Amino acid sequence: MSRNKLPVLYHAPAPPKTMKTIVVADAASGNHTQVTIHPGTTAADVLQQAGFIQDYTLTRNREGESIPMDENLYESVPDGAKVWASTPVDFGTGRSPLLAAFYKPPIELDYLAELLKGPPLPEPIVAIPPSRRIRVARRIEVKPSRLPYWEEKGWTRSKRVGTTVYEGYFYSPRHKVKGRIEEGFFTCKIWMRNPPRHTLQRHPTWGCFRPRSDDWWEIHHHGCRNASNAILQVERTLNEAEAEDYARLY
Amino acid sequence: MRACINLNTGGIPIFLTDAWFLRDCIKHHTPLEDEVGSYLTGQRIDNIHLLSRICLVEAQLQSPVRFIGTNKSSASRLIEILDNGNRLQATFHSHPGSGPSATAPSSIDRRYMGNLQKRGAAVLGLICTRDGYIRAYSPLMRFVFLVQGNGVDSVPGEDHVIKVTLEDPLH
Repeated sequence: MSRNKLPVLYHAPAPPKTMKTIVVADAASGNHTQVTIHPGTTAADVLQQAGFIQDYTLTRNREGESIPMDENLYESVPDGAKVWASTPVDFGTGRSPLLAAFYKPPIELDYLAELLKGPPLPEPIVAIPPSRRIRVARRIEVKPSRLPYWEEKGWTRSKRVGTTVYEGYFYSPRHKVKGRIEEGFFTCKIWMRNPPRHTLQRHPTWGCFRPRSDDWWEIHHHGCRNASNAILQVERTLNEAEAEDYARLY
Repeated sequence: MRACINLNTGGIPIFLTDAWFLRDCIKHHTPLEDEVGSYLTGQRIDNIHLLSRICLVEAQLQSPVRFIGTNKSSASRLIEILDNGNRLQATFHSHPGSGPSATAPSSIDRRYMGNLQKRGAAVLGLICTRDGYIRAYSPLMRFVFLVQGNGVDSVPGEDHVIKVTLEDPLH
């Protein structure tokens, strides 16, 4: 049997799971909400869309610190996990102790107690086992807030006369390269500091990289509408160049 | 003393505790001049909430007129309550000043309790002063507050305010 006729065993990769389901328990009321989260969903997204307003935070367990609001919950929490939502205790008189002593509260009709004479209390129940079963009160789906790509990648923005300057890093699996983008009304100038020449010089777009002063190179990319688009295009170029480099070596 | 009440209150939660426990609460919440806040829990049978345990919360900010608990401590105590099969039944904190009027809840107290109650928690707020007055309050929920035991009296002209004798009532 020739080598070419060997049966090819091909395992189709499993489709990536795009959503996770977690349970958010309100630590004060004990109510549970089943939440389906998309990739990129942060703790703030979950709290906001599940209706936990103001000072609420998420916690993994009793010993854990609060989960930071900007933490990517989709990445950090496993499918089926349970997190707790709670708000810190907050009390205050809101006035000086001297004034507090003379303060007269408004009469509140809602506080009317209904204490009525009736039959005696039944015999006490000796033991009531606590219910360990989780009852999900409701189910919701949370989508991540739509941040522009430049902001998601940690770039900073500063305004100049007639132009907006973005500074940050282009990321690829093997490189992190400092970059700068000047977004004008009609043009978008892209700069890269010390581009990885050994990787990029075999890429078809290497001709678009022009050296300028202080190790900065300008990249001529046509059709970049904005900074996010420019970052995506440059990162795609880096990815392609790395893939070609890898294929050539191995 | 045995309480004789009609349990059919139309679903209105009944918060039941005793004077001895409230005396302990005042003692734990007034060690110094600063405010102290905590959660109260206990068993629950239908709409009867028994207040029998204090869960103190660590302070992030504490002064004679303010108490803010840490996120970690607040969450930890609430999870501990649920892990033990109980629910948060009430919050308790001290106020400066004296007399029944000093137990009036502030806008901060009402907002915090309102936040809890909006999310479906049947929680009662309790405020004490150093001279033994305790007020029960609730911004969004009707309730019945019952105290059993010696050394406790209702305060005439005040809704849901009681006076607890701080020293041992038998001596």
